[in-house]
Amino acid sequence: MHTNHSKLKTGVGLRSPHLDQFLNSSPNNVSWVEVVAENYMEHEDHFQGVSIANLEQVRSHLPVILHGVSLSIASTDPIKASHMKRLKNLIDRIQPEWVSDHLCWTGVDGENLHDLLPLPFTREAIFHVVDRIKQVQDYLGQRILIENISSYLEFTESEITEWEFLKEVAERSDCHILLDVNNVYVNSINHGFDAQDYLEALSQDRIQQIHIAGHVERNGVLIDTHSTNVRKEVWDLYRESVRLFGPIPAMIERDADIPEWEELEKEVEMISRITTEESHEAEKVAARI
Amino acid sequence: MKLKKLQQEFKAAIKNDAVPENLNPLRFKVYSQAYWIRMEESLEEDFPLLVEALGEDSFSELVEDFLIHMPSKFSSLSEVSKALPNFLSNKEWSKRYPYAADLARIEISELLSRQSRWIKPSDFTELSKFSQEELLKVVFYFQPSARLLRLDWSIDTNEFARSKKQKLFYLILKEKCGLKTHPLQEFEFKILEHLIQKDTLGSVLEKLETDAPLRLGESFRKWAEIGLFISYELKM
Repeated sequence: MHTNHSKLKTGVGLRSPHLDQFLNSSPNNVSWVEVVAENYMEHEDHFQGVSIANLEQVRSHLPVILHGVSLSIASTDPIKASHMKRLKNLIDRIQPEWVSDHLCWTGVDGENLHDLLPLPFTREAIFHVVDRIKQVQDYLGQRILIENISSYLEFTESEITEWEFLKEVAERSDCHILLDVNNVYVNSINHGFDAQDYLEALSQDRIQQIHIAGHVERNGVLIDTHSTNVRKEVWDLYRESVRLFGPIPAMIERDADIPEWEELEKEVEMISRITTEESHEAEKVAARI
Repeated sequence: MKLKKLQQEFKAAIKNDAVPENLNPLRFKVYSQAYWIRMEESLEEDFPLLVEALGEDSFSELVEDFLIHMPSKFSSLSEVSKALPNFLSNKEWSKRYPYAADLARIEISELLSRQSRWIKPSDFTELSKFSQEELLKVVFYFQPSARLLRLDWSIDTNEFARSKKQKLFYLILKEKCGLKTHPLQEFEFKILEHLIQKDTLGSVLEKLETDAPLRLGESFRKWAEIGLFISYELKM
């Protein structure tokens, strides 16, 4: 059974070191979890690990969101039927609130490089990606969320900005957006644009979820590592997104150097605090009007 | 440039550590370096003993060779590891490290077995009432964690160079108390190898051209005790 989405407040990307905290109950401030879909999908040879039983146990008392990393929605390969079938099986089994993946490609000519690779922002890419999102949505029987990725280079072929590209893809395919504010910040520094312009270009009704994460700087490039605490600049951008779009289910992603739950929980609390502060602020402004 | 060509060139450049035209070399390296690091770290995690046996430099060389010849076509990194043992059986690597394919086979089998769920076996008391004719028509269902291993090497994990050529047969099983490795006789291995494919006991004995069910009594008792079979079905 799906939860009323307005009840989804703050969440966290559930990773194995913190599984015990979530098996039988949910920590304070966490009203849902997101998991990486491929970690729970049946393998090509039908191997199904024990982890699915753990996920079912978590799902019995907490809403779950499935977040994919290998759909490769922008690849010029045909959509992989076996991947879609296994994803659909997982959806049927877990009944997630929704399903998301990235606005990127992960490989071509049948290979998977297991990375979120960037696209040129062209008309050709828009039409290509829109067509594929529609195919996926038709097959799954539901709208999906696509996430903006972090990137470290730009293509001279690009004809429009990243945010124009994201907005047009979402509107033409009628999908939702999973807005990663860390990725917006990382790209704004790496490619020299104003993150505020990015946020202001997006429509509130398209954004259904927010990701917040940490990054590092290497040789003058910001790298989206999910290995550190969230930087102040990213928290500021999250605050701005709440001002612009209102409270939207938001979560912390941590995939490397994962700390004890008690430390990660502080970041989850930070999301709640910012969301509450900005919501109160919005109410005060509304009362004055 | 068309999207397909751009993706093909980008992919080739990542794998060859070259930089495509019109792209910032420093920025491109973020992608090419990350690819090799990510793949190697994932394989290192799944094959810690193999890393120890080959040494880090040879293992890196192996990863590169493996990914050039058998690039990932899978959705998850955990599936990539499954192909490594067979790749190590190829001429060049088996000549350099003759025991490495078997070592990798052990490591991946243990990993998959550990990741499998344990299912409480059904009650087998009814089975003892079956006639010999009925027993031959039984199909056994195995624990998902059951892994059969046929090895050519007895591996000395304290000193890999001292590993000896020897035919060995094992059953790896996740039991209630944890993962266990059981040595098998060759005939036991051959029987289990067919039974796990859901052959009836009768057809297995026919295939193996043996009529030695008497020898099997003790083996079956042992397998039932460790909970290898979760249930059975009489195929009429």
